Amino acid sequence: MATTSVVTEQSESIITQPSIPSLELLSPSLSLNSNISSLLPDRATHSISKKTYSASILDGSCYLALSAIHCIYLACIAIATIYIHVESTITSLWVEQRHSIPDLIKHDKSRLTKIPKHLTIAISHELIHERSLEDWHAIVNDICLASCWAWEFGVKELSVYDKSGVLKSMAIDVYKQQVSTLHQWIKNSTNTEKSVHPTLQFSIISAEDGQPQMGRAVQKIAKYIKENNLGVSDIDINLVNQFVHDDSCSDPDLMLIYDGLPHNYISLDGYPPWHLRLTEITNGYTYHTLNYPFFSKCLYRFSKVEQRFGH
Amino acid sequence: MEPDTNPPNAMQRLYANCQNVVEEATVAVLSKGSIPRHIGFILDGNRRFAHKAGANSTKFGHYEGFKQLEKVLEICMKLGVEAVTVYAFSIENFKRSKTEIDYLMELFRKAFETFCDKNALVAEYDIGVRFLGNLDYLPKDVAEVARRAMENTKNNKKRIFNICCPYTSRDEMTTAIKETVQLVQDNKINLEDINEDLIRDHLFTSKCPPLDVLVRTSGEIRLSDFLLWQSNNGCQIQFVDCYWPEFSLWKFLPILLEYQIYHNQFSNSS
Repeated sequence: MATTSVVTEQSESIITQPSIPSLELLSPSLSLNSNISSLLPDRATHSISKKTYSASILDGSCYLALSAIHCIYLACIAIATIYIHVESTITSLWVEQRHSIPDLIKHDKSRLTKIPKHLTIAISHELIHERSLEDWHAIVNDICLASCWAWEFGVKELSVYDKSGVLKSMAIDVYKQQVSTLHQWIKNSTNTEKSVHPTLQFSIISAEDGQPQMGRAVQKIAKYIKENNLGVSDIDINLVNQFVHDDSCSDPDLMLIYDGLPHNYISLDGYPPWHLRLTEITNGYTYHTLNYPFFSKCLYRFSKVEQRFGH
Repeated sequence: MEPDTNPPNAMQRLYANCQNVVEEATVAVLSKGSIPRHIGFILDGNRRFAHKAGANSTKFGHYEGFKQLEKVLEICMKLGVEAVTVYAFSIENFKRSKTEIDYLMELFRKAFETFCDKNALVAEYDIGVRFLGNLDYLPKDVAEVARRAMENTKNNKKRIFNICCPYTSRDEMTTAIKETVQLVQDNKINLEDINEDLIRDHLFTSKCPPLDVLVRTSGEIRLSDFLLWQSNNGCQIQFVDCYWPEFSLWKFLPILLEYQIYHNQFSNSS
């Protein structure tokens, strides 16, 4: 079979190369985490007794090389972050000088081919210990403004996820501020769809709405099955879907994560798992404020349309 | 399946050997740092790769995708990754054209057979091959080969290779929920004892280490019903902007570096 011979061919070429044996000594046997290294004691002690002076130097230089690679990678991330911030500041200054945000939204909305029905904003949990009360107030201001932009674009539902629950503890004040900010915006808006689309559904969720909520939904399902004399075979995806959405928001179409450490990966931080089946997730970790250029960039990406500034 | 057309000349062999040396060195250096215990892959972009390469059918993309899977699996094993989970086929994919599904099933049948007997990688690393998903949805002969592969490798405990076929995460969660509710019906636990940990313990991946990294190729930025529960907390989800057949060690490198640099920063408890 062609595929298995590829594997054996590669292992043969390793053995015939004279310069490779020292790398074989450095193979992962010593540095694996506990589960695997405990299963390979013979190989580990054999390697240690075989280690020569040159092999230890090689080993040390591998550690050094890895640390160097980490530093280089962090430097690259730092440069990329600075570039993003500079670009974002320049574009927001240039664009907002010439046009008001409602005009920008009108222009962008005409170019987008699809708008998310439910937009969710996740505040990264990574900087939870660095945030002061002022930082939280700034986040609340950002979100209230974002709810106005979202309404203007035609988004029907906006939810905000904060794993720690700090935002939820401020819920009453946040709701008050959000409703009044949006109300003011709608009053001043020249949007023709105002009457059809009078407001935006807004909710705040936290970690308890994630996996623990699923646990509670399963309890309700078990009770429902018992009370209606049904069997376990009557449980299907649709039934579970019904119970999961019983007391919660709909499945988000687009998620924006922001205010975290700069990295390429995204972390869901316990967002309700059932809801994320088809959600598009944008990485905004390097943004610490939710400004309009970032907001519109996410919508353009969702719409798969190329973003162009100015008319 | 298409075999190699020309035997490689001396220059190509030298280049391949140099590439091997550099890859081996990179793997050796990376292994000095922490390595994720469980990595998941969404193998997306095979058909677009075929289109980009100018092939007249998507079969080329799927075949190249399978070859790349073997290479990536070997890299993971060399690095010391304990469990690898791949999204081979979604229950939604049954909606594709009959010719494509037939080709995929044929590819799966041949691929699963390579795991059945005397696979060098499986033997060297003691890999237990597991199929996650309801095998009854597959054609009988493919399901039979899959069961045989699982049976033949069931005593391999050191590493795990999960093939999700046919699978959706909601289907997996629903199955876990059904098992949990069954426990209540059988009076093995009380209704009040149901919580999210019970669901987690009944997922297909309950015997694997927690998912550390989830990689999706082809530039799409969604999970498409894959490992929704497992990737929910403490998992780094990486969206890579290349098609799966193009996913080499060099595309994998930044993912591993980010894991090494960032994974200790945050504990799971809030």
